Amino acid sequence: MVRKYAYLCRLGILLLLCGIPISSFAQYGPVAWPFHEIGKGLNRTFLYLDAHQYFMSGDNSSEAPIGFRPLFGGLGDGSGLAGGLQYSKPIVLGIRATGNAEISTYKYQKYTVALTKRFRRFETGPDFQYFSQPRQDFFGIGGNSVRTNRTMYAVNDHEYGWLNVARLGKVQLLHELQWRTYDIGPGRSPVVSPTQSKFPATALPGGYQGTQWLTNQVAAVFDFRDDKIDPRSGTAAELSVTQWNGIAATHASFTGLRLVNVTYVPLSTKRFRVLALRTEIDRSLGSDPIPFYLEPTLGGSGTLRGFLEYRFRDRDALAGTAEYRYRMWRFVDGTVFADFGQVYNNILKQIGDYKLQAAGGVGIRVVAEHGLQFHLNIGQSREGTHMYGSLGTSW
Amino acid sequence: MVIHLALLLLLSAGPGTVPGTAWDAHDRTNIAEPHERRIAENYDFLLGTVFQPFFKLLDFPRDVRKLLRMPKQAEDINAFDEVPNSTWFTNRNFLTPLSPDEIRRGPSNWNPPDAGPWTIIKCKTDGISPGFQVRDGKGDVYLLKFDSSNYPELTSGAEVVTSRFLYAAGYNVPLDSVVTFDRKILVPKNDLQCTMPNGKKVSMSDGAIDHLLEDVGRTDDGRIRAMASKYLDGVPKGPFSYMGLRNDDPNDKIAHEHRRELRGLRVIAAFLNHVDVKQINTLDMYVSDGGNKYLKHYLIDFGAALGSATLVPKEAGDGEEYFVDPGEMLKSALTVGIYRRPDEREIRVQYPSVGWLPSTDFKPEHWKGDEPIAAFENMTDIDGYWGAKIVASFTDEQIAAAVSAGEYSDPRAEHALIDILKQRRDRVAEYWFRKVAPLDHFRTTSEGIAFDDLALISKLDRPENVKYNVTFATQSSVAVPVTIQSGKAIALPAGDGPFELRVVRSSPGWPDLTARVYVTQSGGVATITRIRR
Repeated sequence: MVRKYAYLCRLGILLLLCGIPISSFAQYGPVAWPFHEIGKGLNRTFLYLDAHQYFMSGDNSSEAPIGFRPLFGGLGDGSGLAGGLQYSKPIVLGIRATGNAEISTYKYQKYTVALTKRFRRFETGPDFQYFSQPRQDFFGIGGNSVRTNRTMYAVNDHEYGWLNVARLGKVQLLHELQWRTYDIGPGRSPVVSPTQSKFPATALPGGYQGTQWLTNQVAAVFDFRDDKIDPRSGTAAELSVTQWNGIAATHASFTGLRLVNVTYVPLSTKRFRVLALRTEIDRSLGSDPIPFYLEPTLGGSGTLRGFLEYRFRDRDALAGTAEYRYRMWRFVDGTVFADFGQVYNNILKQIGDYKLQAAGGVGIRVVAEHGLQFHLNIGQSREGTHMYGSLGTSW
Repeated sequence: MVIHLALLLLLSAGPGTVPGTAWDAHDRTNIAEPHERRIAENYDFLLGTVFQPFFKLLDFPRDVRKLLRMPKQAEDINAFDEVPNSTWFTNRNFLTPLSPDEIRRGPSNWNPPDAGPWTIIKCKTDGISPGFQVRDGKGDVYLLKFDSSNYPELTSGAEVVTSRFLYAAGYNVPLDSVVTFDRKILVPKNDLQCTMPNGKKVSMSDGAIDHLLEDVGRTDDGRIRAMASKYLDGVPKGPFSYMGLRNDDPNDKIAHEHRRELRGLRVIAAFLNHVDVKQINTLDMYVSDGGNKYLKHYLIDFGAALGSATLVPKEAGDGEEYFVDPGEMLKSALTVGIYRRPDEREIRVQYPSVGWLPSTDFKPEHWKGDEPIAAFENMTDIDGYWGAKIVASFTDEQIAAAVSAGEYSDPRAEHALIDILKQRRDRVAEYWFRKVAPLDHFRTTSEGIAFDDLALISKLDRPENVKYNVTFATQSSVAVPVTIQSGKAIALPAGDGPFELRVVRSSPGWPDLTARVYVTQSGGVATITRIRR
């Protein structure tokens, strides 16, 4: 183990020299950049997992190392490669203060500050986040959206909240109250038109004016996987309910439900071959319009690999993946995958109306013993072949 | 042009110099003190794993020679196809068998630390295994390296046993031995400060020493067990490379990748499962001897040999694939995981002190260290045979003697390790003695030219099965072959003159293998002038 760790550090240096900036000290935020063109925004089908990755990976602010550490990874699908610093320090009465500052190659920026107090299995505390995503893709709403309608918008998000987490062995519970504001602007891309120039505000739910929300989220994770970093057997499920209440000039309200399940079926005794399955259902309750930038999306490095990032979006979404993983090297798996999914205005009423989008392909995933992951996938769909590189945690 | 190039390639395949009959390389001439060569571990890893394999691919002449099955042979051999004694290697067990006691003691000037107290003069908190530099009452300095508490005896045993075999083979190694001692004999020197694993510098108090020794292996009675490596004589000048020459050493005239003792080390390392062969585990010492000062070349650090992966046992795949092994990766990739990888095997560590060392599954031809080594990559069949005959020269008693130096507390573990090493030895011999004629120790006797059949000595073949077809050839004629039985000397023809003796070994189930012996006969006295395989 010790020798391998030493080797791993060396491998990190090797990859760095090869131009792949990986650090063994990295925080493993998601990053993905498509090789076929310049990348774009945040894949909301992974929003929950990404934003609360400590549920799955055990990496949270209360467990961050004391002092400074560099951050590498990304700020969402298409953000490019992000880097930054984290500083964490106990301040008073056992309260840990942690601050992160990150910026990506496509000028995504994320700043967070959290105060966390732990009481054995429980932790609680306020947090703040500012997140700027200047190049978010938009193709239109619904499963019939057209690829050639690709546009870009920018969204800035402020979040002030209070987070409570209970870790009860294989069950973990989360509750968070937040005040969130969103400001929308034209996408800052020299080659892709702003969304505002192609889609009039009246044609889009929520329009382009900013919105403010009070959200109340509860979530539960049931984790029966053999390993959080590189699971090879077992299953985990995550159920979250978020109530969005518009405040000030925002008059909409809705409730978001999300169910994610990941299951790993080992196909060989040493688990060198694994069938990994992932299913996600997003459902929005209520009749008020949901701003387009809060809708779940499909496409990119995580779902429907073979379509562009955020290719499809609507109020509801269904996504599934079957991925065969086989060991190529101590830290590298080869993968063969098939993805399917579709977005709906109302999944219960329309599930039979739209054919599922499908994509398939091959890839490799590098998984270091302490969690660093690099993925390279080539996906094929009816819209062509796309290659995705990503750095960060995954399922 | 093409023919010219081909000729150049063919010429470059042969030895660089016509080998003489000397048994000494005469590389101990006085030289100016070289600079200390410093190699960062990460650079060494990159060099071995990426750069050297890449440049090897671009070595066009080497590729052509490989294609034509005419690899470049080792350049430091004498006319008898042996490695002369040098600052790199001293012929030991194969030519002059050591007694079991000599093997147990290791280097002849073995001088273990006294009973203490030992003054800690430096800490070794970097690297994989913790350690101290101590000075004993005699004034000698030793490096103490410890086992982990989870696998006591594993690293220290592997280190000492491996050093005994490498010494007996002929390599220069440090004076390593197992020591057990009471914690109380460790006394820090005044004002000693050490950098702890967390990066903080602390004064070495008793408490700090205890903290560093918290997780080290101990004996049943609570004494600390460690490996003591005596500091080598001379001035350390950094590691040697397994490729190229050392520019500031005028005695270094043969590219290291073409030195047989470094090429053949691959087979010996395979026998010992010494996967951690790399340049940072070597050391050049500037020594003084007989009025001359020169560099002497040592192999050091054997903690990842045998069943040990340094502090923990080896895992499946260790010794069967490089740490970064594109070939194995490609096999897995192209077969979509159907290919059964070396590290997929289920293994069981029976004795924690021995770790995991395969015996029946051991395939010497497929053995790999952690990194590709240039000299290993250049190993020819003849180099491999050279290494194999050294391995095969270790008798059961010698193997037991070397293992006893590891001072394993569990006799069952010790016997298990002995048995495994015997099997590995036999597998090495079985493979290589089928590749190159295992006929050796050619010598003149009153009855003619006698020789040993190493396959028979190793009991890999039966004497009654083996026949030798011998052909005498002079510059002008070739005689009709004669067949002799095992154990018989080859009677020489009457008359003076040089001639070639071509000996073809035949045995059912074995390939026919040839050795050539060049003999000069004058006045009824025969002299062997050259041996080729």
